[in-house]
Amino acid sequence: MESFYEIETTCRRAAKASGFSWGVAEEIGKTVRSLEIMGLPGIKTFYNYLSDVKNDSFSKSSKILLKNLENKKMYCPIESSIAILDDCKNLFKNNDVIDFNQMAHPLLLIPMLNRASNIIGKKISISFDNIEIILNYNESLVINSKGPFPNQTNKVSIQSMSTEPTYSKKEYEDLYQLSLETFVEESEGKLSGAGAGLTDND
Amino acid sequence: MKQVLKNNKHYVDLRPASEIMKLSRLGSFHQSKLSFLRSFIREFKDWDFQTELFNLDKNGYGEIVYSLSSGSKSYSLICFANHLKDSERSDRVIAKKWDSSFVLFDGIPSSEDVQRLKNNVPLQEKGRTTYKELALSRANKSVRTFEHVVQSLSEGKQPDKNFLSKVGYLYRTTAVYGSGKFGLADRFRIADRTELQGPFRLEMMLVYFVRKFTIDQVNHTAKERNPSQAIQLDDDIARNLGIGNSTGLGMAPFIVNHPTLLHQWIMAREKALQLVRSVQNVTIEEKKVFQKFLTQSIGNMKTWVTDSDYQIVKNNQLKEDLKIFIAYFDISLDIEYFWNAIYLWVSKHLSDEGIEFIVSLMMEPYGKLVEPLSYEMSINEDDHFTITGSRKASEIKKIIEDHYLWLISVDFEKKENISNFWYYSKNKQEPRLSNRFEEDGSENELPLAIARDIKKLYQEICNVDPESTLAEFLLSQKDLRYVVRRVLMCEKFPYSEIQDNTIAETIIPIDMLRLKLSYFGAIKFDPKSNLWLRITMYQGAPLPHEMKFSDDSWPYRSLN
Repeated sequence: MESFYEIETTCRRAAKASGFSWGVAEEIGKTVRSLEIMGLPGIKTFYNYLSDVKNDSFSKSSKILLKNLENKKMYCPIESSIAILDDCKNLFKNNDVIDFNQMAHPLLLIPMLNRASNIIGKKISISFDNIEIILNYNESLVINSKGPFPNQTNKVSIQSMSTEPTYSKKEYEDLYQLSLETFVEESEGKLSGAGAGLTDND
Repeated sequence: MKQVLKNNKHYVDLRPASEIMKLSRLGSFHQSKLSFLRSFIREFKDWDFQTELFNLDKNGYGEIVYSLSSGSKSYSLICFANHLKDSERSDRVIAKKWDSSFVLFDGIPSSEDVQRLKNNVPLQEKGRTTYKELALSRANKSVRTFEHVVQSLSEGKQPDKNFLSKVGYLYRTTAVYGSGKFGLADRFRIADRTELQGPFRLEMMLVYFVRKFTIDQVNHTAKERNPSQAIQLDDDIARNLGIGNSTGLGMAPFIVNHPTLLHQWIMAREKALQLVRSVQNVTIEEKKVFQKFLTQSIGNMKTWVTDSDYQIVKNNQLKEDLKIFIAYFDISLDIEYFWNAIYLWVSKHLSDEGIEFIVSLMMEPYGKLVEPLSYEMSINEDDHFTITGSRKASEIKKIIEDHYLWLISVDFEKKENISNFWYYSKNKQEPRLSNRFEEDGSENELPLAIARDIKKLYQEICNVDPESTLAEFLLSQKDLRYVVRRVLMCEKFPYSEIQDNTIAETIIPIDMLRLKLSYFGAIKFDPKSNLWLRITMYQGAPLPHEMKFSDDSWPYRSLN
């Protein structure tokens, strides 16, 4: 079995050989490695993606909008996710939904959007073909599918998630009160000890 | 030793990157307390060394397993020694057979592990290893020294010390691989181990074990050759044998491909110098340590043998520098911030070779100040990989003007400034350098033409709206993405870039090798051309049974 170093290096070179610039190829190497580390089929997806690159199946990259509607060709997941990553602070500032109507190999979006999640400090959700993914600050992801993953989807939606808590105020307060039971009440003797609060103002 | 901080600052500033990062300066660096060979021995000196398996036949072929253990942690080297015809022996990376091959194993290997590795390790690049293996290497005998030592020992006499001191080793390694290559464990699997918190720790461990193997093999072979008369190699001679290494251009791009790591290495050295120059009151004992190692170094330089005109000039320059320096040092005054005064004089009167030699030597009396810096020489490069696309074009322009001023005036339309290109050789599976105007293949140029491409970035960024963002700029400038990343790194890591044109006609790649090898702790630089050189590692280092007593002064031990 190949090491993740080998996977990254081989995919970076393969990307360069397929016409990408070195800077983009570096991003691709890290993308495939990241998918494989997460247990997702990075190499297989990248392998299939390169066939589409060869067949000139993708639209030219352009500025990412909230509605990205392409009529003739598919959106490239690498170019799209790089453009989102580079502009993530702007694109996700209002938690708007970013839609693409035709996206090839949407699995390849995950690693760079996970890095974007880390930069903006918010979780990011991706949904396509009944697959829901939540990206957590480039630390982990939650996904509701073991695959197979589509080579193309008619709609992919990407949205940063508000940082509303997933718990009630009471639940947290109860836990906090419980945590106080690990503290020790200070007696008169302790209060007059070294560095003790009350005597510091004398 | 008392250090004084002025307004929470050190007595002196760090040396600026513009002074240090020129290739001619970097190519004059010498081993120091921060070198990886030395920090390896400091880290592992209290570990227990064992020979776990010794299975060599009468010709010295077979397997040996060594281990280093501390508590529940162990690392093992599995050595495979094979017969090799003289006609098959080659130090080049394209060789397919070697006298011996080695793999560093995580833990103590089972007999099944040894058998599995026996089928793969001698094949090197053509074999496969797993995440249980940490580093891989091979080595060839220096036939003249190996045979001389075996024959002498088998006749009951010690080998000729003068002859050995000129070569300095019994074996030369031709490559040491780690960090995920050929299936080896990825770096992240071991990154949290405290004993491995220094660059190339595992590779240095492997080479240290290999040195022990070479000594065991000569002793064993001599004994088998003449059981009744053979004697063991004297420890004093064995200690003065290191491991040779042939290093070609494959290593040179490493320091360009790992900018943040390069910064950490240089920064540690610069911080060490700053700390030493900021010592207010220098004791007589501290001066004596410096003086002693200076004297021993000058003695050892007699064993630096090379046919390279380039290296001969550098070595002679160093000797000349030290002659001038000694005359100055003998009359230097006992003043506050003594080392700062010494450094200022040295930087004014000596060549790059002499300056950097003295800088290394100035660290020697100050283990407590300098040695902790060796733990700052690694970095998680991925933490600095992502481009901040919200940065403005005007900011990028400013960073280039602040950190890359030297290249703005270079004309990359001129042939002499772009005459070379770096590529990855299909035949040799390693980076190489060729003339762009004479050789094919420049369309597959590696991203190592940093100066040329940053100049292009500068020109392009000057032509866009200063308020526009990098995200907007990179939509249409994908070819410049890799240098944008570097420029942003350089803002935070000023020692991350070599300040020279690595594709110029005048490039001396051997300087790039020398820089890296000096950090390894190599000595006896012996260039065989502009493109490859031989060095020696661990010469004078304690033998495994002496490690516990090492005081880190071994690089200065007299070699004779």
